[in-house]
Amino acid sequence: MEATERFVRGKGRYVGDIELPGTLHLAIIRSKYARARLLRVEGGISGRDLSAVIPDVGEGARGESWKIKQPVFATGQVNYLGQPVAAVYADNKYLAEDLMDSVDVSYEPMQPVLDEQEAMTAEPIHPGLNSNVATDQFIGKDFEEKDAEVVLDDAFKIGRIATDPIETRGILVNYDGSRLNVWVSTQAMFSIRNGLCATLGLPITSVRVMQADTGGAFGSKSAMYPEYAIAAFVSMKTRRPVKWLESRKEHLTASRPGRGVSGSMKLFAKRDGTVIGLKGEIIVNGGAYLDGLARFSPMFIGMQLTGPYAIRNGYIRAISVVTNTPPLGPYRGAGRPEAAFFRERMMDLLADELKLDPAEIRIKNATDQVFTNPFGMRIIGSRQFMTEAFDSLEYYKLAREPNGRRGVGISCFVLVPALMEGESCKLKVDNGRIKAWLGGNSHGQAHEVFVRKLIGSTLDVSTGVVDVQPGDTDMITSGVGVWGSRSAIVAGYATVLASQTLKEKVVKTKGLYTPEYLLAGNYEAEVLNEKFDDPSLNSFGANLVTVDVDELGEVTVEECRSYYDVGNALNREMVKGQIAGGMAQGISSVLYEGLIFSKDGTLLTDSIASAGVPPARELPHFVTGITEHPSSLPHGAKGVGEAPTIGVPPALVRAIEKATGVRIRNIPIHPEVLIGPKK
Amino acid sequence: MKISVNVNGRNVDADVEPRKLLVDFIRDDLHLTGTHVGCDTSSCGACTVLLDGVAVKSCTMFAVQANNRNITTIEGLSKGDELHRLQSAFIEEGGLQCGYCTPGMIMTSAWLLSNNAAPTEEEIRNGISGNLCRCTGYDSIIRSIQKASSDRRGGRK
Amino acid sequence: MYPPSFDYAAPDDLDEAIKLFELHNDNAKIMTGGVGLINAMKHHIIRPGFLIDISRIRELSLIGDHGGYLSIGATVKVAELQRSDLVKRNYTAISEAAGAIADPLLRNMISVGGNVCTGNPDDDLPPVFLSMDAQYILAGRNGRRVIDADGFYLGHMSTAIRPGEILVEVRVPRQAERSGSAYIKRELRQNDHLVAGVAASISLEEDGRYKRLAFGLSGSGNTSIHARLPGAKFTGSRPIDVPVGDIAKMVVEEASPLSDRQGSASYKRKVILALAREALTLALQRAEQGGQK
Ligand SMILES: Cc1cc2nc3c(=O)[nH]c(=O)nc-3n(C[C@H](O)[C@H](O)[C@H](O)COP(=O)(O)OP(=O)(O)OC[C@H]3O[C@@H](n4cnc5c(N)ncnc54)[C@H](O)[C@@H]3O)c2cc1C
Ligand code: FES
Ligand code: FES
Repeated sequence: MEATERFVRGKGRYVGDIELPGTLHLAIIRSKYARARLLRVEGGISGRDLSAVIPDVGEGARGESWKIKQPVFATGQVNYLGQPVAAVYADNKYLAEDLMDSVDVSYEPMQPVLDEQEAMTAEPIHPGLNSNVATDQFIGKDFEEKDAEVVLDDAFKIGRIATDPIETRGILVNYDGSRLNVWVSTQAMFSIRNGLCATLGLPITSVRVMQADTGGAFGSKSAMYPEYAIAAFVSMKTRRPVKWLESRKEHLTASRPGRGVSGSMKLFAKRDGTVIGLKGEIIVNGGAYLDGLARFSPMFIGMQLTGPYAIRNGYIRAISVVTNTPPLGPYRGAGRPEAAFFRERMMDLLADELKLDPAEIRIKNATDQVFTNPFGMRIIGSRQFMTEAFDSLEYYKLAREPNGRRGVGISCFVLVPALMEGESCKLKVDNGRIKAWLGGNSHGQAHEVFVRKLIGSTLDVSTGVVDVQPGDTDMITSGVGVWGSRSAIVAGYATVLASQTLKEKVVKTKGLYTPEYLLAGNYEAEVLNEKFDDPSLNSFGANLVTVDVDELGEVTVEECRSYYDVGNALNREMVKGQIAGGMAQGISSVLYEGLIFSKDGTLLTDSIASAGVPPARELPHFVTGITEHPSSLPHGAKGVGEAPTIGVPPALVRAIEKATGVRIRNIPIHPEVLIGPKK
Repeated sequence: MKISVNVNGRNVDADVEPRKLLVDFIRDDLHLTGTHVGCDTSSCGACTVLLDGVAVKSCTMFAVQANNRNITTIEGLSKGDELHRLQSAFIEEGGLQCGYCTPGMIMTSAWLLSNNAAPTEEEIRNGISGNLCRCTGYDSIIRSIQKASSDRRGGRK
Repeated sequence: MYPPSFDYAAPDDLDEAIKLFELHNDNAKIMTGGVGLINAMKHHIIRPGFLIDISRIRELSLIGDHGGYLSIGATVKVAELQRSDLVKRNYTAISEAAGAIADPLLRNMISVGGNVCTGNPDDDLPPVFLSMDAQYILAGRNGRRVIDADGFYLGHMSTAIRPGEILVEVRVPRQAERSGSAYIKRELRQNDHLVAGVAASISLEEDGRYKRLAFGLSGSGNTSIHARLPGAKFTGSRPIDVPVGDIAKMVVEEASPLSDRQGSASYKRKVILALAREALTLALQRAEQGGQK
């Protein structure tokens, strides 16, 4: 049965749905404080029983983690609200929760450091460090400022956001006496396998990870987490299956959130609108323990600051800091939205300063040829795209309409997909059917659709003979994962390459390729492709948003439109569905969403509603325009998944600024800052 | 406590602890895992079922409150192999991505259409606002419900 | 996230409920919809040992026109209240407040009794009942007593309900001819705390002068608020002589909103001012169009 049919019938198999006899249920006792000395932990299992640290795996991993490592259980000191302190288990989840009261924990609360700017000057949160600054590097090259006729500076801040998939995290582990069999809700089964092995000191061969149906992820489900290690530990200890399902409240405190970045920018330009350089400083809130993603994030943001524009000079200080918040993870866009927000805010500021149209100033700074920015990022010509985009978005028409408390904003950006480490695909022909496995699998993107299509077209077979298999680390040698707008590109390419390999194998045995030969035989091919070096994979996008803002500062989004180059769209309807979903997240990241802590570190937004995931009545209808300029890969794919969370926020913020006359530097926006007569 | 409920047309007698939430009774005791859990604050609607034909959040009820009442879950919506027109419409219009909100969304839609056979876009937006979807941005869900609504009026089952 | 253990009974007879409540009063709670209770129990904020589910008591589930007043049973779901033609027509603000609660599914679950008895300043029905001079009927071991909504809300999550008492009915005086009402609220996010809400309920003399005007406020202090000042000051005035904005300003004087994540106190005052203006304007229009039918 197709996945979609299973889902509408209620026949999905998410982790919570998988039942094994004798399963124990795990409940985690978590820190009540953002920062405290841990004086006593009595009862349950804790750091005394399992003393291990979480390795750096998953999206943005850099191999080794930072010098302060995230423990499975906190000992000595707790460093974020919700950090695991102990665990209990019982035959069902109600009883497990009852048992939580039997664990006695005492704390001595300390003043937490919650914000990246505060962290720069606050006393170090980790004993033994002399500062909260974890990484501090310059990228680009310092440059002369004297040619500039206009110099503008400004500072911005983007709050932390929970990823909030409707299915929270969950894992089921069954130790069978020799191996750990793991079912998990994830974007990256190999990260979980490698993470479990590293944490528990197990050989790779002793862990099998199977991806259950995964109810959304948006970044938070690629990393290794303490709870996974605890579940595995308890299963090995008790020889029983162990299940842990995250509550929403746990998700909001202990899953990795995204964003949480401050940026100060200085833009140098000529009076004709040509931008000649950019300087600035990026500070990323890495949370209590920094993995590779957090440490690399400020540079990743800095590197993209020129976007689709030919800005020749750039010099950026890129800083990551530790704070008493959960470790930073990727959230849809992961650095890309931050870069676009900072840059597009500066482009609008320049347009206002020079009294030029925002579209005009953007086109003026576009490029006609391949351009390498001062940080090494390459793009292809962007001018034609922008010209088409503003037309297609009907910007000129909408900008001319009388506005009052209404406003229109546009944005342009480059989507830099995460291609590193490539992806794998294995195909096996047997009994007239083709089975396909990927190294990274769908959690809502329906990979099976493009896999079938690419196999069908490459091998000239009906898509009906292709069975896309669920993710299973035992069935494919290696793999990476699903994030960073990468799947259609890397997994798609791997599928094409594996199909071509099958073809060659048929030719080798039969002398020539026909689909009949293929399907009559037994063939197998597995590829992991790694090398991508093509600036055309960095794709362009533009957004337009119009709003109406009432006298109390309430923003109504009227139009939300995209114009994205999605390369060769492997399935147009699904691409548009991805865009609409991403646009909703783009809007809510500006108007509704945020994790807000009180000064003492209590989470004030502790429900999915208060954290701002919006219902249908708070969102507009979306216009999902796309254009298709194939990339140089054989299947022509480009990325799309993250485009809307990159492009919508700056366009929306500009529209609000035009409607109210209030310059906006921080998101999310509280209506309070927008009230009063138009300035 | 002994309860007797009719679930998807079948009478079920059971002995449950009063504190057992209806959603856990449905999922863990009856093994009908199409009804999901997405939050702990009655916000998301992933757990939506029909109670005597009315859409409710089964995470915010004790199973004992359903004593002597009729429950319809997503599994009870289709007639065997034949999908309910809402289920087909969600497939045809791409009203789902990860599928996790989908059963709840469809149950709410069924209740909505039972009260209003031809809802406007705004009525649908309001009507499904007790159900959160993080994937779709709702447009495709709204199209699916509109399609099911016009299929019904067009005589399709 | 799972409720601690408790005992449960669902009597279908009010006397039995009262008896049970008396018997277990030290740790029993009355449950109507269960939405408020279950959320508090899941998060271990309360741990009642006994729940008395009164939702199966027939006589408490009715909405009726009793000549002099509208009777609303304690177990009536707010969705029914929202839909009732009788309520919509003659007690518009009640229907609007009911329709402003939570989301469509929770409205199928939340009952009038639960909404009225909690004493949470965010609740939508109490300000309307305050503005309409409603009375609450409480039943207990010693029979029934009637209490004005006006004296019911004592402080944050605190009401005048006594141990062992069950709210059985809300009575709303029949709205005179030429009366009109409205309820409007602002929230930043659905199912989060609200910013503020204002109920306006007015009636006019035959010559068009204000005969009665009253306001109720949600989210404007530590419990539901009855703003009486405008009534005292403007009864007898003609609407054209007193700008709506002046009356609204007086409503704001009776609010004492707190600064929090939903906005600063000064922002909330601006919101209350705008909502009061809007609610009064609507109520006036409705009154002038004839009111009670
Ligand atoms: C997600 C969410 C969103 C919400 N949004 C809103 C909103 O927008 N507007 C709003 O007004 N409210 C809102 N509420 C609050 C809701 O209205 C209250 O929790 C209300 O109490 C629920 O009613 P119930 O019938 O389910 O009450 P129950 O849970 O049954 O009872 C609540 C309390 O009232 C007591 N009680 C109930 N009935 C009686 C009675 N007859 N006699 C004596 N005591 C009684 C109970 O003992 C208990 O203490 C929301 C709640 C949630 C969970
Ligand atoms: S599980 Fe979220 S509302 Fe029921
Ligand atoms: S389809 Fe994923 S939450 Fe709705």
